[in-house]
Amino acid sequence: MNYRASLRQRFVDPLFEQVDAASLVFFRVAFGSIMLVECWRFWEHGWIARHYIEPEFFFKYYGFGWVEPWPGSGMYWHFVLLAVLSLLIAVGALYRLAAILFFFAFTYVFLLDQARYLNHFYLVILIAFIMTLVPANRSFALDAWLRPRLSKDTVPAWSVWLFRLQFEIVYIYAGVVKVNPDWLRLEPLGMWLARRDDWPVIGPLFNEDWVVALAAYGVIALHIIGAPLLLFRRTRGYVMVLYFAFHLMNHFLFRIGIFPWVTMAGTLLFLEPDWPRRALRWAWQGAERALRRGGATARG
Amino acid sequence: MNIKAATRTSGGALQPRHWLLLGFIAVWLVFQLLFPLRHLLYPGSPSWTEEGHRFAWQMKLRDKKAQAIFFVRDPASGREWRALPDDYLVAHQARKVGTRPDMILQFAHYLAQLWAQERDIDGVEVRARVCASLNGRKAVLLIDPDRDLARVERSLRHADWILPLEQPFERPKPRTGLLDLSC
Repeated sequence: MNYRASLRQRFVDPLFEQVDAASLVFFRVAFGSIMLVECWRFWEHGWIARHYIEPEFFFKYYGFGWVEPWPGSGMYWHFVLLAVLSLLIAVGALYRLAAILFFFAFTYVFLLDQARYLNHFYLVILIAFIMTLVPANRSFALDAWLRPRLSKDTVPAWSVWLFRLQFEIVYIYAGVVKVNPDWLRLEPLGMWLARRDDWPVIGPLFNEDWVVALAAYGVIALHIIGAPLLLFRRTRGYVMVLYFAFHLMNHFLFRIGIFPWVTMAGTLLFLEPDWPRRALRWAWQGAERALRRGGATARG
Repeated sequence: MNIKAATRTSGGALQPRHWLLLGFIAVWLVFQLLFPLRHLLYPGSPSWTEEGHRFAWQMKLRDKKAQAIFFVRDPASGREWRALPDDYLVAHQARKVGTRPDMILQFAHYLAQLWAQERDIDGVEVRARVCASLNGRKAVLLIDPDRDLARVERSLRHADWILPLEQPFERPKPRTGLLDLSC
């Protein structure tokens, strides 16, 4: 066999193999749900008016000076539309259309004001774009239920791999950019942790240099060494536990909105594609055992 | 397991649409890899200049605070007005404008436009004195205070009116960060 053919067999063919659709479907439901909650948060906190109606001037992205907010109550309706599209994505109804419209509708909001730039909204745009490409409505979806022809328990492997590689890029860059003189000298992380030294129990530790150093250098190691290890079955479990601890810590320390939840949902895509089924079976068996034991105790 | 059986490849030849998809994915990934490196094309730290900072996963790297005063000038009469971001922007915008040179420029253009429209002044000049502190450093000038920003065109090239960060790093005192932004 020649070199090219073996390369193809090793790297290209596997991308078109069918794998369990469950992990992609789980991510679809999680992403749609998180975005639905985010729309609700914008509404609830009055951000729609404060960010997109009240300002008299908007900072434009280079080349996108023509993007303007809707007049009147248009921005509210826009967020209603975004919420409906998020819901459609979550339940897998009119999925492809919903994903495409969501991509454009969300990108539009993003482009309105540079002062609102957030890395996690950029990530949402990238995810939304990839969502338009993948057949995430083949199972556990209204589309598949209404049109059984569509229904299938598998998806091509590339649709999982595209997400994995996208998250790898985000994680590895998040580590690489921290190899910079300020971060290596423990700022700005030191200042931020010092401001939270009123935290119960661990608060006083935030004033200790060695704690800050452990966190600052640990994050670099987690992203640069840990993220690639997510790709290997033997190491992925340990790294995933670290990542979940990292994201939860970020959530409680810095309150960075939906970012930890989106990335945690994304990180689960590194597991074997059938993990939701195995998790369900495990939970079901556990519940059954507990019921049986409960019944036995009641009888005894 | 029935699922295991379904994961076997059909072994069939790849069709043109498969190669098209692969090509697209390759282009997407190469773009994702290269785009965050834009900051290497600019001199200085992206945390200071903000050039190439966005869309590059530069996360949690800068604690940056700034105090910005804009000066609008009528070249014919020599009359000058002071303009503060707080009077023209909402709070979250005003808090950011001084720390992001490209936003300073956009805001300067906005002021020039306001003065031209409302006071009918020709050739309005706008300058800004911006003191900024990065990661606990003593606050220093972020941009050239003598440059007429109304004459500066927005571009993706390096902004030569951003002053290089020469203030050396020192651990901030108090540890929670610097509050004095005068420079």
